[in-house]
Amino acid sequence: MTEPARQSAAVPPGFVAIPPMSGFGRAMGPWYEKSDGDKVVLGIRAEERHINRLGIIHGGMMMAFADTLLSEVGRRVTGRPSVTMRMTTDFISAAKLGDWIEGSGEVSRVTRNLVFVQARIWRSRHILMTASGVFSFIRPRGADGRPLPDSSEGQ
Amino acid sequence: MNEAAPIAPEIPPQDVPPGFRLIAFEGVTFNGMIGPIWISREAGETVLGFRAEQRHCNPAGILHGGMMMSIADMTAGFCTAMSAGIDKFMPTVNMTFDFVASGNVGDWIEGRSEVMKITRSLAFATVDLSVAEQGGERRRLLRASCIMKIPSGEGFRFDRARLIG
Repeated sequence: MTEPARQSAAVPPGFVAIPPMSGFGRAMGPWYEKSDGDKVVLGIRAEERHINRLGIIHGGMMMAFADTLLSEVGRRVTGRPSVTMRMTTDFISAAKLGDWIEGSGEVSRVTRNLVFVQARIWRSRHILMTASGVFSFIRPRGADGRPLPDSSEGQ
Repeated sequence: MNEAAPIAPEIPPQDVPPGFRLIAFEGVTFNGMIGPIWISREAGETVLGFRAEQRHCNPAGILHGGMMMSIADMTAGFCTAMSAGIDKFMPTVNMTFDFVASGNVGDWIEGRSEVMKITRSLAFATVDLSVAEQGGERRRLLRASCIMKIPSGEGFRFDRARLIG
């Protein structure tokens, strides 16, 4: 189902909305994505519900965006879902209501259980945040809620 | 129209531990959207609290990291400022999170801040999120280390937050 009311401002060409996967994702998003070669760029338009009373993007919103970005970069590269173990965020400058925010990243290392990712988030030519994270792979669950066999075992 | 923000649902007051008062956020802001969020200021300690709901969860059905970090960020700002006697809004400079355990729907989650050092322009603090267990034990969910900027001059003063209850 589309939610046209949320697309309150123009989305730059090439970006498509990602269907929300969870309650929290629905509340924050929709996030938009653009595939740039083998890299993914995530984007979001700063709306009223993302800002604090100073009129700038809430730190928690930037962290949630960074978390989604880092884990999506990890998933693209490894093909496996993961959960956040550790994340570092540096707030370099602030975004304001109406700004279009983008982020991309790369994987530093993949081990048997972990993926190390770093990312940067910007608006126009201004860096807003640098972030890095360590994510732990999870096994996808079947309809009964039990973990499926690990298909990547032995790869 | 399908308005964006899921407004904080009515939650029966008995769901909230004694001593906590609802923070009344005004307007459509991030805090209002992810809330309701409660605050307790007893025995000189400022504690933020919220009840984990389905809408705070990730696809795995556990509390979303973004929600935990949002509450930790608020704890870093609010609780650190209260402890340090600072009445200005402090923007986050750096925050590092360790996700120790997962949170579940129904958990009452509390955020606490310990001030490490206050300089002229920076505040260093450690924040943790935990769930109170029976017998007074706390199940730790998240540990965060943060650096907040103390604005020079007047900055943006905290209004007297309107509390309910």
